[in-house]
Amino acid sequence: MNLTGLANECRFKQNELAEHAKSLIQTAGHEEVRIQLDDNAPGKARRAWEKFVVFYTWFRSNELVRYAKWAFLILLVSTVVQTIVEWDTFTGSLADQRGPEHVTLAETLFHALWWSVVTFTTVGYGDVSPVTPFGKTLAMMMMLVNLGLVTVLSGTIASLLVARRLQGGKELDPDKYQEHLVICGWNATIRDILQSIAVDRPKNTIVVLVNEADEDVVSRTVGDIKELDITHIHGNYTEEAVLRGAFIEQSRMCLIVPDESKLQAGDKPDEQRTILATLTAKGISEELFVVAHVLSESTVPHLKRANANDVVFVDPHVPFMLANHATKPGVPQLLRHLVESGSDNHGLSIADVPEELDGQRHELVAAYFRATHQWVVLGYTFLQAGFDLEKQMAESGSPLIRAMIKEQLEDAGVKLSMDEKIAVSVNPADDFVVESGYKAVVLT
Amino acid sequence: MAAKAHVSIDDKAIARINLFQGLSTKQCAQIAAVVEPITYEPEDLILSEGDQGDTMVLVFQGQVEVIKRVLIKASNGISESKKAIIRLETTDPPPDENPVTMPTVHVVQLPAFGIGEFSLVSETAIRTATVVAMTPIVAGIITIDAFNKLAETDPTIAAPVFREVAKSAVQNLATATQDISNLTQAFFFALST
Repeated sequence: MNLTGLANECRFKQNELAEHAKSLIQTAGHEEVRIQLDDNAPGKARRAWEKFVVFYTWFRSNELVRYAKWAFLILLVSTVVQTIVEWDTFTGSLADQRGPEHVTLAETLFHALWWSVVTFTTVGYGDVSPVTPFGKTLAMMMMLVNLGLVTVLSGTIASLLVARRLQGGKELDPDKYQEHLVICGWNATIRDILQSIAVDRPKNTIVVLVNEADEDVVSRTVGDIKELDITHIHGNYTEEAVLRGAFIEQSRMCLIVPDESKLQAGDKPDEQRTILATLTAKGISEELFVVAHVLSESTVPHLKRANANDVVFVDPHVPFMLANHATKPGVPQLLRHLVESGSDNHGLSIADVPEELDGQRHELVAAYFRATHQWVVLGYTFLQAGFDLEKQMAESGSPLIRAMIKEQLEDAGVKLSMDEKIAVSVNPADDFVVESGYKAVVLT
Repeated sequence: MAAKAHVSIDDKAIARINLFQGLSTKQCAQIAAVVEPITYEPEDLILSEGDQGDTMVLVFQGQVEVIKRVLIKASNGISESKKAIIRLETTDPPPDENPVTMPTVHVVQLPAFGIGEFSLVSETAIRTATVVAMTPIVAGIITIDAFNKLAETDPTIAAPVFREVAKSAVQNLATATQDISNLTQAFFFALST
């Protein structure tokens, strides 16, 4: 389909929607008029009506209500029928328990209802029971029907409770959740992340964890971090409703980490969900600050495109370390030793090159550090100067060309200057000249 | 036009032209004899960029604007545009009218000047810029043939003139080299970010 066709279709759809909206508005208007005739407070009446409709829809559709209705009907029928069939039994029992002056129709009906509920709930006190064969037959029928009904009813109640928990049934207070931190996903690093946050921000920082891990796993893992006010929402964080439930639009930051909450042992977290969650969060509010944390580099460009404010590509050293464990045993061990600055004082450090050695060759500087400190010079770091195209061009060449370069680059969004940065020269050749301002990277 | 009549193309007028400094009065008179007088009205095209020219224009009075074609990026793609680079103005005598448009570029003042001077050394020289009159111009045209004939009869005419042309060519080359260097830097800049 060409673009014109597509555009036309869009317009057609738009018109259709507009018509639909108009018709809805008209219907709503009619209703208002009607209610206005009935009641002089249309707003109130309408709200009440809307509430009733919502309730009625829920009432009609709810399983629990449906079974409860049946139970209620059976109780009612049983009470009435038993009162009639077993009149003597119930009036007699009532006279025994409360005295003959209490034998009225109302009390007898209530006594029959009492029996029905006691039987229905399988409690069975036995203070009164049908004695006539007809009454007993009816009671038996009721008990048998009831057997199925109670099972279904209690099952429904249980499943409703479970469903509510799965939906993260907590209704959070929107006033409390402002400037909070939302962490989507669940993995072993969550505890470390929260602990670092707890150290940095001693005040009661509000954290909302959104993931599908079990409530008790979550509370066991992070429950002891008392510095933070942690709430767990059980739900799929790629869904807009779930994220809105965490009041993500009011949050200070949303951190999305690789999710391991529903994985079997050995499975890898699904990075696509991180992209989806970023898109969903950014869709809710473009201003939201989203930091995504990924395991594979291939996800990074997608997240950039999804407008993630920052992407943390976790530990690029890990694959290197793993690979070296196999191919160059000893290298990872050495590195770990150096990084974990052991007790034997060996480690990596930066040392100033004495001024007297400025402009000398690397072999001399290395020999100096070896002789004076027993250090090995691994390389040098130096500040690489920034570069400013405009300054560089200054007044050279024709002004026309300079102006054109500036204009065109700026139009294309190319910055005219580069910031200075720290550069490293590793294991330079012996004749490498150590300039002034260079610092030596030494193995102490 | 009557006002311009007082600028006569004689040895004194020729001596004021930047390119002919260092020539004797006699040599200037010889050149004046082969110069063909011409006048331009404001906004007249004096030289056109890209044309092949075998003449040089000597401007004795008036102001001209030098314009180059450049490619610019516009909303509808790449398009060609003309950009003023510089204006040249005589001071001896100065222009007798104000320029038709106010200058947006630097105005260089000279007693009198020649344009299209590269034509003196090459018959196939291409005009490197467009020159447009900004005021009424009193000028003269000298062809390469006429100049060559003068140079044959008096070789001492050629040397000072060619030196001036060479100076200007060297100047242009230096600027062009700088332009290339600036463009190269910009190019790498654009690629690296």
